[in-house]
Amino acid sequence: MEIRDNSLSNIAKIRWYNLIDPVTKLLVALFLTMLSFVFTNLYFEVSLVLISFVLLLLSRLSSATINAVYFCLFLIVTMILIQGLFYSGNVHPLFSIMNITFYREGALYAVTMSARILIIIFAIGFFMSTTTISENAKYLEAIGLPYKLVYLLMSVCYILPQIQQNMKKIQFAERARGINPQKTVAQKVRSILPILIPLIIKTFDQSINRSITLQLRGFDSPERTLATPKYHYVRARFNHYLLSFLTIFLIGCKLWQIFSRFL
Amino acid sequence: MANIQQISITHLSFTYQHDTNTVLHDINVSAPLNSIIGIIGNHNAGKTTLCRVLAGIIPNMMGGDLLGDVHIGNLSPTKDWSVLNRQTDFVLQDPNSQLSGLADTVADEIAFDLLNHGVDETTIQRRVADVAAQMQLTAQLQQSPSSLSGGQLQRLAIATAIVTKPGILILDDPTSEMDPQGRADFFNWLATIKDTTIFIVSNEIDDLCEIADRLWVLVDGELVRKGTSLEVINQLNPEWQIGTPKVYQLAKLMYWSLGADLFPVNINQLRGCVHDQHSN
Repeated sequence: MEIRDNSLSNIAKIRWYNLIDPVTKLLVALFLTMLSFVFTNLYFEVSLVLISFVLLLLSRLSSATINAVYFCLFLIVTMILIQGLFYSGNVHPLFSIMNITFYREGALYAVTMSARILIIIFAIGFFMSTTTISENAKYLEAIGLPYKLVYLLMSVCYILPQIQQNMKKIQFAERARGINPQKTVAQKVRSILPILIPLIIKTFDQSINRSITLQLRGFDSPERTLATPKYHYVRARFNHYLLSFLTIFLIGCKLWQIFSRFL
Repeated sequence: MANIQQISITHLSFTYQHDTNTVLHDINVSAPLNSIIGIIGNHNAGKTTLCRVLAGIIPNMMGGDLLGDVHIGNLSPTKDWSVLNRQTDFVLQDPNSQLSGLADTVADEIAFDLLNHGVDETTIQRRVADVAAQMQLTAQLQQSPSSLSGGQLQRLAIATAIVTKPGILILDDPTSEMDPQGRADFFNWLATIKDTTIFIVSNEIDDLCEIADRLWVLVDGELVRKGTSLEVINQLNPEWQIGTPKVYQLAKLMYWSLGADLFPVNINQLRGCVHDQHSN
């Protein structure tokens, strides 16, 4: 058996999203985001949320994405409450509770904003849950990005998961030693504060070590052969051109919308 | 002029950038190439720093005040780093830092160095399979490196280093997370390696005395003893608080001496000693 055979027949469980290259996934996220900014109709925004949500559901839901959505839902509820009560364009009351009036304009504005946030979260979540850092790095290098830039991007991608991993270890050790039970949110926050600086220093230290390792392992060797991307992507170049064109067109539309107000 | 058959370190001192403490103090030592050199000492003795100097990480990737001269054969880690780096592999203390992060499977991680050296795919397949078998990682080849245990990660780190068949292998505490059987297998395998200069930092003094041709003892950055394991262990100063092999402790308790107040430090020496005792 071939140990490192990347042919499609030898990769177990090829999913539909494995046939889409990382750059196309990122461009799709950008395209959906731009669509939501250009067309502000609420029904259209909601349909975009649904499309990006279905995209996420059809891929692989990771716990990080679910956590991000939970956090956003908390933000969205807060935003709807604040805008419904204090938005500058509030005119028509929606309902009143104990002399506190909640307005329609503010609520609609907040819902539109929330839809955009959800579209961004779902689309980026789709990219993150279906693309590994290594797949991304291999593909970027294969399409001609210099290895130093790829390494820089990869290091940035690694910082957050590395911090999370280190924090989990420290918190687990703290709990095991009975220092902080971390049952409530306040206890969790209190447990993070004293370890924040050592945590960041440790993570940067690990990044430096990884950079040293890569140099020792000949990552910048002139003889280097490019690693073959794991999957065979379908119509990657065509997708890049199409989505780039559409996204640039939408950016142009948005700029026109902004500048036409002053004309 | 450097002796091409020798490792020579002359008046080596080093202080890290933005630090006032000298980590290595005037180290002078030499040893033949293609030998196994065990580096022992307590915490903050300068073992890792010495490995970094030997690998050329200092001063090429880490700054500081480096004095003296180091030569491994006719190559200097400071002056001929790119040439030396092609012949050297380093296993870091923390196996997680050894991983490239660019591989989805253990097989890809092992192949990473070979790809970087422009080796063809057929040779890569063969070498990855061989090294995985040596490090008992064959069953894990298709797994993600992040799913491995601490001991398996260390074996993977070693596999990534030996897959290129380096002429110089620097191992910084490579067995700290291994189980006893894994550690024993590793040292047994290390003893079989030929034509490679190996520097190994380890606290496994029993295993080191079995395989090392030379031992260097570091105390607070100073090289306080150097020589064969028999000479070094028999001359250890109790103030240095460095552990001795069980064979040595047993022989000392039983007065099984090799003569001239030298006690055996490995099984072969002990066997010879006991045999002599019975003959007498």
